[in-house]
Amino acid sequence: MSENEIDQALVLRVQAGERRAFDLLVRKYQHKVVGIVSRYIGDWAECQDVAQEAFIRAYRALGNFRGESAFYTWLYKIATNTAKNWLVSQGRRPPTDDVPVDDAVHLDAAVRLKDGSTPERELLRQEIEAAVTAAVDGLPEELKLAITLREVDGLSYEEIAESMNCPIGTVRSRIFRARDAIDQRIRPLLNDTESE
Amino acid sequence: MSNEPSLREQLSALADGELAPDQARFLLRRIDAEPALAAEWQRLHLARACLRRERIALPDVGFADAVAARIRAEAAPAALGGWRRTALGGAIAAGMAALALFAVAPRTDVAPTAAPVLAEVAPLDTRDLALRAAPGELQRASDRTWSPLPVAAPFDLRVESYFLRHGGAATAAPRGGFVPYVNVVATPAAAPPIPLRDPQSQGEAARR
Repeated sequence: MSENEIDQALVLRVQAGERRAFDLLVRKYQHKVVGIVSRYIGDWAECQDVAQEAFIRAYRALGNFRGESAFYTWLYKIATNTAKNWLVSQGRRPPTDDVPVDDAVHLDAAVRLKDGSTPERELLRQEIEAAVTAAVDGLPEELKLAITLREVDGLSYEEIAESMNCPIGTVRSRIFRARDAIDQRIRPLLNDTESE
Repeated sequence: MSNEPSLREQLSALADGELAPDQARFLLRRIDAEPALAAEWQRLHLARACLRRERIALPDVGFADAVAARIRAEAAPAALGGWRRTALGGAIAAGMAALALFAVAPRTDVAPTAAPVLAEVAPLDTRDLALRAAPGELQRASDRTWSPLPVAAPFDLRVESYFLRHGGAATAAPRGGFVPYVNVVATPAAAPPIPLRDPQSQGEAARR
């Protein structure tokens, strides 16, 4: 089951009336959607509201989702349209320089400075990024290689197994252990936020 | 955090699309029921976005819960999406059209129970004929075994009329119809008798 197929399975469950399945899609894509909306809307509180609205619109329109494109591509369009419509409703002119969905997720830090994120949220984001980087740097070599091949290079378990000359089960275990180490680093940061 | 390491390892494999479909379905339901797994699912994708240097922003705490609360107030999206409704409507319309076609269209087939005319003709015995017929009145066997073919059911007059009109219009078209050198439909009055040629004259025509 590929990543798109997982999304599609969740979509089918939502279409069958299981609302909780949509929560998993929200949790998976909330960081990206808020990131997209923040390109259009500078005010952080408004950005949160519009991002929520984008998810609600996606939920309402999910009955018409045909699966012809990836779920995230579809969600990305809804998020940008929701942000633009909100700007128009506020009497503001939406930007005309649309960024293709594939490029939108790989923007440099200079663009990020324009985001409407609060300094505290931006600092936390940077802390989390640093924690992830530090966690990967501290991994044993075989775990670091496995997680890098998977997350950065996008290789499948089978391809990683060939590359590392080990069974697929070992690859799966190494990737999990690497993720566990990363999770131990970032969980306290997020828990601190949640306890605020 | 879930206390089951195997479950968390499955979650990791699920995020990579490397879990068997049955296991994936099972695990997705477990995530629904266990908030700790859902939170780990969320962190896993956050870490992934960081590793991939994707553009992200950290939403407020409880963002997903707020969306979930709003969704609880919403009606569930139609299980049968708009395109499926359209497809279903189309299928029903096509079915009705097919039903109407077969139910109303004239029958041009011969009933299977109808026996061929040949079967009703009593076999002739040439010895009887020879005995009963006068000399010189005997017929050849090939003549006697001939029998007309079963006549097809009469053609629907509307269809026949259509073909006649179509044929007339096609031949009257500026370029003589879509195949100008072929009479699509020839009415008895319009069709001139085709002169028969003997093989010798046909050969001469071919040479010319």
